[in-house]
Amino acid sequence: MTKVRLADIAKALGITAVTVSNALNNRYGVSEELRLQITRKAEEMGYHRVRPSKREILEKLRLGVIVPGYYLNEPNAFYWSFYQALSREASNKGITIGMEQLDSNTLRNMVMPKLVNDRNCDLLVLLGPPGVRYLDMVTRATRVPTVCLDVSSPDPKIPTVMSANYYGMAEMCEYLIESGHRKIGYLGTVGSTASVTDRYLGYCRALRSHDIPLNKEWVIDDRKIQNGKVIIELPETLPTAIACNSDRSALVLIELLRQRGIEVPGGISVVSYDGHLPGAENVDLTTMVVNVEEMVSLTIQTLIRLYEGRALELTRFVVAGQRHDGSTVRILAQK
Amino acid sequence: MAKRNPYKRIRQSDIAEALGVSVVTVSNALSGKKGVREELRQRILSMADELGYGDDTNTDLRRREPSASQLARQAYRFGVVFASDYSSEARSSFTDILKQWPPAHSIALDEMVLIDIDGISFEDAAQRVIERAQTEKLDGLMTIGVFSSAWMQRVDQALRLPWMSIDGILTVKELDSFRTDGFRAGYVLTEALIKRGHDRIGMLLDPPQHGIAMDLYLGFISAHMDAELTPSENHVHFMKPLGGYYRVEEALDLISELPEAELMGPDARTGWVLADSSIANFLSSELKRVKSHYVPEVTMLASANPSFEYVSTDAFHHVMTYVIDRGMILKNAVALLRRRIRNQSKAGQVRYFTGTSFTTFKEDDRD
Repeated sequence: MTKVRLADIAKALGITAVTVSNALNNRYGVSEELRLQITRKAEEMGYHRVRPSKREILEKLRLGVIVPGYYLNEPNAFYWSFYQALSREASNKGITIGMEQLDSNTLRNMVMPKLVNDRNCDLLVLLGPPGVRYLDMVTRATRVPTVCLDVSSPDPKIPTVMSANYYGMAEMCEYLIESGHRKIGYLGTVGSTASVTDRYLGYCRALRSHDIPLNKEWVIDDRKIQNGKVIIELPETLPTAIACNSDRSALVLIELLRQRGIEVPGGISVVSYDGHLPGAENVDLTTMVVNVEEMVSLTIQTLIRLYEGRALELTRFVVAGQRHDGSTVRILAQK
Repeated sequence: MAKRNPYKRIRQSDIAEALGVSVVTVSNALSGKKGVREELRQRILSMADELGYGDDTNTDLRRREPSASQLARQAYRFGVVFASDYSSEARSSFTDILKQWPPAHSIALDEMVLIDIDGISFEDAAQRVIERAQTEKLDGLMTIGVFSSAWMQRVDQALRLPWMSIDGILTVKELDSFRTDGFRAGYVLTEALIKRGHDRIGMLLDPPQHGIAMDLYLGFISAHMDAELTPSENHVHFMKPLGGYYRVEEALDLISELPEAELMGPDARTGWVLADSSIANFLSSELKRVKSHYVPEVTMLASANPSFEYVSTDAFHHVMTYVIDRGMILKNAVALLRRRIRNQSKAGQVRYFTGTSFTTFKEDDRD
């Protein structure tokens, strides 16, 4: 089929190509009536723009988000912030978004996500760690541009966008040290997830940088479960400050301390990580706020670049957060 | 002539579309290149005329605002503050790249004014930077390496310029910062040795106050934890340089404490993670000097800037390098600084850069 050109449309209507060009590009100088006539004729003749605009390309794309269900169990779970930001960013660009939650059976039995099997998305985001073997399986199977968000990609060709867990927690602990604390504990089960472990190492870094020895007694587990409830066993001697691996566990800790008659920050100071717990039960936590917007923006930008076939200079993005100064830290001495 | 939408500037693709030809043809015709039939060229020129190509009289509004390509070409002058320091290869390789700025294929020809404050006092250093910034009318500042917050505040209060910190460690709200992800590097370098079967791994690093040394060390610990190995902390040494040369007595102590030093000979399956090539050269020369039979395997951080790297590898039987492309870090850092000057980016962005590739520098021929 021969391509329809502007000149053809012009000829058909007895006007100049210039007018047709102005009309189709929405420029001044063409009456509304004539513009309508021209656009209708163009459509009728099967005229296609020589080059679809970027927006037109993006509007045809579907973004799939795969996330383990247990991260979204509660309405105020941290990962909803990611999904919200992904939705917003995607719809700003005209990209359709859909989510698939993986339940525990799917994960345990290594069942491939539908979004991957049915091949009905053009771009894929793997949000949150679903387990090493599962992640490996999905990253090998995917055939579309894929980005791992808040989980480390096992395949160097698949980009990763991570929060600066190690550096962020180091910064929070540096803040405690600058505020005069030297007896600092860590709340989190080391080895449970990569994030918790990295944050623990950040805590270690801060201590070592100031020649403060590590007291193993003050590294407290927060995943022991008894009768369906999370049990936190506090050590005999308490530190003056505790760095918590997440806002959620910080709140549990604060409640536990309160029951023991220990006030925060009067008795013990607390810092934590995440920064996306809305209204956090009347406690203004001093926490590291994860930069969800930048992480999501990088994720979508990277996916679009991959889709356009452009080479990536970097495949690993580590994004730092911003410290929020709440009311859970007592300043012992100004340095 | 009909009034045109001032925000819709006529492009070559508009002409191409109007005539049903390619943009390349239009471009060639307009620039007078050969390869376009005279008749077609005339038609292109008339269409260009009719559409108002290159006619700015109706685009007054656009004239006041520079176009995107004009902005991309705008050249700035940046002050680069550093302390020339023999023990930090990273810092030296950054400044080497900046001395030859801009890199090939750059659109904007930014000028880098290097300001060395090595060995001078706090106040003199601050004064030097402030004076140069004012006399040379700098548009922004870049600092390479670690500077105290007091010093940075002193200078910032006097200048109030957009500021980019490379490999600094402090987080200040308005400061943009690009840092090498030493934690990740330490992890990857250690993991590589573990994957090759080593379970006793040593480490040689810059002094702990130097930016990434501590992070490399914790990355080393992290890799051990993931592999469920106990790190041999006795074999982690933070070097103490003195005037750029490593002290001899320490070197001898060091070698006597090498992991499995009793297993001399090329079969020793022990590895070392080395922070950079100068440390690698140090270890290599010490081993040769004491005529050691110990031939370890090493992994190390390297820069993609080849003019810097000279590594003597004969003392090692296998060398792998994790490359951190410092040229690319600087390119991205400068781009962000330029956007800050035009107020196009949010304040205080901190990004961590990791290595981009792992290469085997020297192959173990027995593998």
